[in-house]
Amino acid sequence: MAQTINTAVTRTDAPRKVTGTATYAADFMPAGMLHGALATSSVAVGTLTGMDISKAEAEPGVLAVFTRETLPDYKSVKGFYAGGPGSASFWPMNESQLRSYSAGPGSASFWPMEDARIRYAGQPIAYVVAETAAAARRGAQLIEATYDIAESTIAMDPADSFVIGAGDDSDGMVITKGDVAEGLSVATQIVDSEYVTPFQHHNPMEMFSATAEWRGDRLTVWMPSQSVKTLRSGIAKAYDMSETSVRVISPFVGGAFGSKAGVTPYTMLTIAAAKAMGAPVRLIVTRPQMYTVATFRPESVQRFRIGADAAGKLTAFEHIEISQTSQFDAVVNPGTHITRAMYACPNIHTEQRLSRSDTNSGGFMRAPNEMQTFFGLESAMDELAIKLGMDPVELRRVNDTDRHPVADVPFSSRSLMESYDAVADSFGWANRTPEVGSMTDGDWLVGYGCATATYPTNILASNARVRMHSTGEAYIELAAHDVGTGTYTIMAQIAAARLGLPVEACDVVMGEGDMPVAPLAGGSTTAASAGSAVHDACLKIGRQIAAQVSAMSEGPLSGVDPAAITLENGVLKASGGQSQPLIEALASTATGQIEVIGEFRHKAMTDQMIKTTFQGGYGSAGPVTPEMAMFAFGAEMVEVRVHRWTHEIRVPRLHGAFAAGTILNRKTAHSQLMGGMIWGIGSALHEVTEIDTPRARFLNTNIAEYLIPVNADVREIRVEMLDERDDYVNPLGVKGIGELGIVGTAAAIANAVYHATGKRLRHLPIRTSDMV
Amino acid sequence: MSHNKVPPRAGISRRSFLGSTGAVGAVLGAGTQHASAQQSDTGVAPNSQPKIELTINGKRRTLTVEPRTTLVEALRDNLGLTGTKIGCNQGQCGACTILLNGNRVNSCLILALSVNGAKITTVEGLANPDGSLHPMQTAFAEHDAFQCGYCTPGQILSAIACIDEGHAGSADEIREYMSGNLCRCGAYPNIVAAVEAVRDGKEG
Ligand code: FES
Ligand code: FES
Repeated sequence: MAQTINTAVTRTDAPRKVTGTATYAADFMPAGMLHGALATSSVAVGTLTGMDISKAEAEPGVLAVFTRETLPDYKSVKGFYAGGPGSASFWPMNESQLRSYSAGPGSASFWPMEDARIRYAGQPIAYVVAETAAAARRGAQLIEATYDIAESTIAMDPADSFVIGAGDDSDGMVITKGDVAEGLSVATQIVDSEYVTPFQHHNPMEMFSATAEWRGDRLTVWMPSQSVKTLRSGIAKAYDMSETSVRVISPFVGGAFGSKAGVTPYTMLTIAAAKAMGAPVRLIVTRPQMYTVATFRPESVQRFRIGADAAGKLTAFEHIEISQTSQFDAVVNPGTHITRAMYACPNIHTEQRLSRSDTNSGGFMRAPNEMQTFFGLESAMDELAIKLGMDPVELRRVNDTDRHPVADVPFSSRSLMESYDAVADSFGWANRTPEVGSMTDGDWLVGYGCATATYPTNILASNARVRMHSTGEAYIELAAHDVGTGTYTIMAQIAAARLGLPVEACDVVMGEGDMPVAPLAGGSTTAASAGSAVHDACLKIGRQIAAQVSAMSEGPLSGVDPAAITLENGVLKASGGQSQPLIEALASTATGQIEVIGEFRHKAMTDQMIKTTFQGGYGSAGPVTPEMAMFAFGAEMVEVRVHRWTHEIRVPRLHGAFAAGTILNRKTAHSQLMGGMIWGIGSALHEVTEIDTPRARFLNTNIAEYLIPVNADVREIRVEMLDERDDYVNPLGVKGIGELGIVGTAAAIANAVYHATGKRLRHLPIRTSDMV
Repeated sequence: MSHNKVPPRAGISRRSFLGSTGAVGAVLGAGTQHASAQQSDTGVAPNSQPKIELTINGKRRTLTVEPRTTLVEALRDNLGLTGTKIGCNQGQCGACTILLNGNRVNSCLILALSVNGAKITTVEGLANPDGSLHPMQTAFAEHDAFQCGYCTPGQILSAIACIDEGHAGSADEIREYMSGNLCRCGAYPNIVAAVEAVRDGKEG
């Protein structure tokens, strides 16, 4: 049982998930619950001049229609959220940066229904409460609003972009090392290309919802959340309540991918409506409304100028990323921070720019800094390899580096080329003939493509409570989240391994705001950070029990110096050779049980970072600390087939090899990496939120027309997880795998499409029509 | 994306539903922000609420429903059977899949009133009374055929029907006939493996 880490353990929550007893937020229905529905604006920009709610009020079952004039207790969450997740994605910032970045997704420096302004299509304008969900939705449809309509634009204009936080506050948004012009002048080959990625929406299968119940001055909110701490502090702050009088409950989350991290207007409207009604209210946001009441992946343009000498060594690297933001927030997902860490180069210039248009604010969506930028970077590297006449894998090898090219610190571990070698083996890269169109199978044009994957290792402060009983059970409690990531299982595995218990005996409880602080489930942090806190708690249990039994008059460890006792796989071992199973030692104590709080603090964490995390924000140390650069790496190879006559694009095989430090659970880790790769197929070939330019609206706001991969789109996916040891990142040596799988897939597919057809597609998604 | 879907014999999958007859397609309209299945939420007088009787997971249940109540909302909100999930409420995702008289259907597209007298199986009704799981439930757990688990009740019922219909002959056929159940977490290869295992009698 000690060997529970790095094995394939079936999810501990699997029985609940297959029997329908896993409880997601909207499954909680407090007695007397009423149903809410949102009415949203049908125009993008203007002023609300009037609203006729009489038909809605007359609708059978409708109990109340709230407008901004009639919902007195509706509060916004602005300033707070600027320090929270999403303000600048996963980048720790100082105070003045926080101000200049304004607010984050869903929170917005602009808050709907505070005044008559309409600033994006689909903005909430009224809230209906009814006896049934159907009546509430019908009521919302019957509201007739009139507007003064102003000019609007939904697509950003890349020519009208700006840099944020420049100068002393640049936080690396613009950096220059060496001289790119000089580097280009000595290059043998230069790639100078622009890559474009579209708006995308997360579309988790579970729809957004919020249920609020007031009991006197105490409030309970059930809402699917990636950050129960953020949610609780935001609500408490808005209502000027103590955090302990706000309960936030989110034990299971039906997928999030970045969409459920915030405190949103629909949450606050539901809380206000419940207060006004004197009864609990549940809102389930409709699938179409999900496109405008939360966040999305902003559209972007990636400009690369990369030069290399005849041997393929980079002489110049320039990356300018321009991504869309709303008119009122400056939401930045700084992808240039990641691309410049990839390859050795003496001359580097990167710039992070934003361009505004009339939408709700974007946010972070799975690999928010990496998906778009690596489509660009890894396509550009492929173009460069072709110009140089080099194998694309060899181009990566020539430019591999063990030091961060800009920060000039070593990588804590970096197994990029090991990943390429492993995936090349499993994929059969050696069978690739480099000439375009040289591999065919009947009417199918076959192409092989590859790309680098990476993901920064973000580590955040975390606590965890562990209680162990001499009956052989442990109870683990922390405000972490299982959004499908396997968190329940890996936390149990860590405790089981340390305490010497079976995994089933370790009961993990998570997803409530009152629990010990754990970070937001985003940026692939939970296993590394919260897991390290559970690990610490178990070691603390070992130390405390060791101290107790060493002070006893009898027993195997009696009289031994407690400092000489360590806990190994559930056994207390003294340096002199004496030992005692932890559970036996625990049984000999007066209480027969012990409860401790474990803590994870990394030496690279500043007090400010820890404080930010404890306030519900995202105080990540890394990926670059003063000593080390922390990134997980991987490589993906894909076979694409394009039909000569129908131009259908197929992906029969997608292989990936990844090195992300310790793998805690080979089953759930495999699923996460595989799921990420399938997301990559989606980004490459399916996903796009289409825009209605004249009306500045998102167009395909449903899950039939916003295409995501279906079962029949996915064929062979092979995932290899390499052994990698990293003693710097955290005591478990865990990096993080939730997002790694998606990074690189789109470029690998685009590169394979080029190899098959000679068509270089520099935009996503790649469609059949691009093949004609 | 996958095209050329053959509609399942009894099931209504997302793609086949959209691709089927104009009459049915018209209910969904263009599927834009403003035209959706929710337009079926038309007004009714609350005091004339009819009673229906359903056999759900082997138990007879009588309930009063507003005529516009969908089957999934009747199950969840009226009867508290929250194992069945709603992922779109407009017939696009399969999260609400249940067995209606043995056939898989999207319960968000069916008015509760229209199935008075029907036999319904939901995820809550699959395990044996002694708590032992249905082979498909065991196979999903073993093969890690989910991550967040939200699509899972629908996938499991769809998978059971997929085998019963005789549409699980090959991995390709399973992929095709399971494509009406979306999984945003991307558990598809593991779902196919779970269905194959049950088809081959390797579970339970
Ligand atoms: S198909 Fe019924 S909820 Fe999506
Ligand atoms: S398991 Fe999350 S949607 Fe399928």
